[in-house]
Amino acid sequence: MKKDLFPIFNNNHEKFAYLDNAATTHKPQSVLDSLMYFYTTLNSNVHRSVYLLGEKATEVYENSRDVVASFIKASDRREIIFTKSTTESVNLVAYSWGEANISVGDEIVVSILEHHSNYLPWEQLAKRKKAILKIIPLGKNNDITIENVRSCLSNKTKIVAITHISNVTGTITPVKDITREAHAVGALVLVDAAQSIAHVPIDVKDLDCDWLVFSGHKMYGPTGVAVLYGKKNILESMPPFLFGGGMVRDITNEKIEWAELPNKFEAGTPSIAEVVVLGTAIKFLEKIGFDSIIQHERELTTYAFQKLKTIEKVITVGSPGLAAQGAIISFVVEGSHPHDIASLLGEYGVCVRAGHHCAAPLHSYLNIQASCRLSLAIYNSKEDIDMLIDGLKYAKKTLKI
Amino acid sequence: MSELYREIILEHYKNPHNYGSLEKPDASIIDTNPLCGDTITLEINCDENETLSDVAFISRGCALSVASASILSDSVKGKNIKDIEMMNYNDMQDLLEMKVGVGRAPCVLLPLSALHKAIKNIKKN
Repeated sequence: MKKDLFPIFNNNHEKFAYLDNAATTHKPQSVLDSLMYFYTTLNSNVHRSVYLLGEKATEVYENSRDVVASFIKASDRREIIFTKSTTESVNLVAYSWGEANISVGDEIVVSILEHHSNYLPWEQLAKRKKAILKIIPLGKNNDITIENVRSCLSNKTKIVAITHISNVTGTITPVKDITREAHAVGALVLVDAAQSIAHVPIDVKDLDCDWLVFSGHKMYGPTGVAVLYGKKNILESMPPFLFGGGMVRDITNEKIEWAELPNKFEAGTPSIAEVVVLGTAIKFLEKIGFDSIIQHERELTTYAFQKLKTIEKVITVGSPGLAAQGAIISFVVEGSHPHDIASLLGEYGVCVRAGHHCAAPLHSYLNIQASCRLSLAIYNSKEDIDMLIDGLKYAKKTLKI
Repeated sequence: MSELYREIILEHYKNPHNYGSLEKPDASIIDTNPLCGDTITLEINCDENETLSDVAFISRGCALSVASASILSDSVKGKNIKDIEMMNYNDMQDLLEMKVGVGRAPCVLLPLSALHKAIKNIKKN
C-alpha cells in the first residue's frame, strides 16, 4: 500500500518481499530528503555554536526532542534523552541507576521474552551486585500473564525490565498492568519498546512506566539514534553514564556540577543529523496514523497465519494467539534447519531472518535451536505473504521435505 | 535451481560421510556457532608422519554445515596436518565448488574451525 513512498522498492529491479522489519525498516523519501537537507543546508555542531548556522542546527536538533516527547506523550521535553541505540539506552539505565540502587540480595525481574539487549545488562548487573535475576515465564497461551508477573515480584524487587512486544513471537505484553503491579511493591519499570514504537501508539503517562527505550531505525528513521525516556525526577536522581563534553556545568570550582537534563546524559557530539531525521520519521508515522497502521498490520498478520497453516510441516512457534499478537511471527519447518529455509527464501526474493534473533533464552525455553521470523511493516502487502508462501514451497521442494 | 543447495550438497546432508565417532581419537573437539547454536563434535587421529589418518564428526546444524563437514572430512583424510592448517574460507568454497556469501560463511567454516582446533590440541600434547 505504501511501497511507492520508499525508494528502495523502486531501486531494485528484482522484486523482493521484505519481511525483516523487526531487524530494521526501510526509509521513506521524506526521511531521506530530510537527511540530505540537514547536511546540505544546516550542518554544524549543536549547543556550543553561536553563529547562525550552528544556532539553526541546534534549533532543529532540539525540535526533534519536542517531536519525540509529544509522540510518546511525555510531560516534559527534558525526559527525552538521545542515545545511539536501544541497547545503549538500556545499558545507560543498568549502569547509571543500577550501580547506584542495586545491592546484595535485591531482585531484578525480566521476562523470558527479552532480547539480549534487555537481558544481558540486567543479568550482568545482578552478577556484579550479587542480586537475584528473576525471569517471568510464559503463560499457557505463550503470553505474559499478570499471575506470572506477580509470582516474580516481592518487596525485594527493585526493577522490572520488560519488552512491550517480543521480537521473536510478536507477543504484546500487558505493560500497563505490569507497571501497576511493580509499583505496588515499590519497583521501577523499564519498557523495551523497540518492537512496538512503530506499531502501536505509546503514552508513557498512561503506562506510567519509569523508563521507555526505542530506536529510530525500526520506525522508518535512521540508524545511530535511539531514545531513552525517563521520568524527570528519576533521571535527575541518576548519575551521568558517559562523561565528556556537554554534560558538565561547572568544573572550575572544587565541586563538579553536572549539566541539567537532558544534557547530563548526552556527552559528546550526538548523532545530530539522525536526531533531526528521527523527527521527520515520527511526522511520517503520525501522518499515516496508528489506526490505519494497526488495521493494516493486523489484517496482514491474520492473513500470514492463515496462509502458513496451509503449508504442511510449517509450525509457528510461541504465538500467543491473535488477541496478544503483534506483527511478528516465528516458525520452523519440520525436518529442516531455519538457516536453510531462510537462505532458500532469500534466493526466492523473500527476506526473513533465521537464528535465535538475539533471544537465546526464549529459544531454549521453547526447546528449539533456532527459528525463521517474518515481521511486517506498513509497506507490506498480501502479495509479500504470498511470495513467502511460494518461497516456502520452493524451499521445501529443494530440500526434499 | 538453487545455487547453494545443489544435489551433491543435499546428498552429503542426508547421508554425511565419516559421520559418528572414532574408537580412540587423538583429539576430540566440540565447536559451536554462537549465532544459530549449530554444534559439531569432531574427532581426529594422526599418525607419526603428521598425517591425518582418520576423522569423524557428529553435527547438529543446517544442511550447509553438515554437507561442509562431510565434504571436508573426505578431503582431509591422508593429508599432512600442516596443509590442513593452511586451509581457509576460499579453500572451503573450492571444496564445495561454489561461492558462499558472508551470511552463510559461519555455517561452512564451523567444521574447518573445529578441525583446526583439534589439530592444535594434538600439537599441545
